[in-house]
Amino acid sequence: MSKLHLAALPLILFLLAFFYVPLAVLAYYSIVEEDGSYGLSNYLELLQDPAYLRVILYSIVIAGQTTIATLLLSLPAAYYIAVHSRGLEKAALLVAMITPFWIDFLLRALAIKNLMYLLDIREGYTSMMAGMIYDYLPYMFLPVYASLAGIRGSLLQAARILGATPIHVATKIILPLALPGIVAGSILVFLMSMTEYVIPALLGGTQGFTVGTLIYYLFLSGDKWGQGSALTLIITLSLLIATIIISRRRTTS
Amino acid sequence: MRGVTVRLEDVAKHYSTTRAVDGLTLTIPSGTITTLLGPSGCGKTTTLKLIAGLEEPTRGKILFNDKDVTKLPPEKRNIGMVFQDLALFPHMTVFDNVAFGLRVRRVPETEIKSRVKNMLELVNLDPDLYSSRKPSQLSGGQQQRVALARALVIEPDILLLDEPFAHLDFKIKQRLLLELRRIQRRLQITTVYVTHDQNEAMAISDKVVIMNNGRVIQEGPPDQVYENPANTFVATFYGDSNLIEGSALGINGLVAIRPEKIMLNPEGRADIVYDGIVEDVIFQGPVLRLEVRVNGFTLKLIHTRTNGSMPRPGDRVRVGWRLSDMKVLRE
Repeated sequence: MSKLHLAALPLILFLLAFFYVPLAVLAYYSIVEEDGSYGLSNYLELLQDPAYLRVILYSIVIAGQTTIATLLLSLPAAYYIAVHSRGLEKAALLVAMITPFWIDFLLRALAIKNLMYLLDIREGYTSMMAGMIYDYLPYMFLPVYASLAGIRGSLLQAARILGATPIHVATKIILPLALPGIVAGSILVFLMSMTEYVIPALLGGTQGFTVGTLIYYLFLSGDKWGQGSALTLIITLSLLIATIIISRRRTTS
Repeated sequence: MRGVTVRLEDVAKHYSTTRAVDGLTLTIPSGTITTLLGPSGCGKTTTLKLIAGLEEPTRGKILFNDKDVTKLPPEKRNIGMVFQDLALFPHMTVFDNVAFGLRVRRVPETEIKSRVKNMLELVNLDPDLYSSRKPSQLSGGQQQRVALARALVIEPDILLLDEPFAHLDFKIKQRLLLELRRIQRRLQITTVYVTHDQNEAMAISDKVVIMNNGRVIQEGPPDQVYENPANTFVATFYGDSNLIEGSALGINGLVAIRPEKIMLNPEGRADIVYDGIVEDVIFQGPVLRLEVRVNGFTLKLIHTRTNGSMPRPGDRVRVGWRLSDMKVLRE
């Protein structure tokens, strides 16, 4: 064995200190009950209370809508830039797609809040979705663009000559070839937007009560560390399991 | 409908800075293999794309059997095309690649099965062995066969091939050229073959069209063009030639003579004989390539060995040729 594993050590130590050890602490808190004994009552309370379940369901809907919206925006643009533009135009469009994300996302969220005020739209669903889509667009655009960039123009010409209409070309050539990027982008956007805290808190108003804001509330306002820990673990573990299942499917098919 | 004659009438394709095709008038006879031969950038691939409908001409008309197709989109021209990079669909199996053109035509699935199978057999690819493979699991020659099968299974009126064998080994290329000609003869399909390789053009064509700078330089049966090159471009690009200033022979203009027409030690068989000194000898199995210094210029000649003797650099030899083997060129 080489000593190359030492190269990975700094990152592993970093993640241990700032993610895995705190996660273990959370796991510990989640099984401590209010009277100091150990048990699963934190989990049972969460899963039996329809109010909590409604928040989880609402977060799934918001994350799903964010995923679909970013996909519908990214796919045509990525297709045009990857397959039909070239040279200076391509470079300019790519830079234009990425430039907004050089600015810190908190600043962009605040900017959206002010822009929405100008349009006389207060905090709520519309503002929150605008913020979510803005924030997660690059995580969808880049994988989709990467999968489309491999499509040679001759593939599309070959399909046309064989008698395919533009709809055939889109459904039988372009979409199947873009699928790996679509799946990767969707997993990324769904997972991250599912647990998003800042955007719902800043822009969501009364509509902003998602899993992210709920966990914040349980820890810092409600002083319910046990339930907050349990909720964090439930969400993290179910997202982990879902990701494993989806990527297994992809690699075996 | 078989036996389509393709005609291009004064066709031009100008891009912003270049004239890829510039006033091309050309007839591709039905049922033949016609080769467009020329150096890269001569406009041969653009010509093919114009016939396919992938490019629209800046000016001029394209006719299939006297029917004007200039404005017809590619999917309505009933053409089979094999691209230079083959353009096989990487996410589909061999079967699905070949079946693609039939599926978009809504041919019943049972008929698709038998037609794809027959076509794979025609291009010498075992359907049982290869139908379910992906293109990436095939060799270059096998991918080539799939591309040809995919182009032919729709029973096109015209088959277009854009340097299809450019990336293959010499031996596989030779075999596929022969197979392509066999299939073309059997189907009697009008075929346009684009290449920059004179050997491919000679081997496969009923008609050769030599192009340069977006124009036709010379056309005709491959042997006739070879025997009667019209100018220095054809004489040196389509096969090799010695170009000799006519004044050295008392002739006005430039004279071309093919290397294999120059005889070594001709002893009475030649009309013109020179003394020379061998400068270089390249052994190529059945033939030798010689360079012989004569009267201040160097002649290239190809000598078929009939006995074991082998000239060496520095040897004094006599070289000569018949007057009828010399071609006086236009410029």
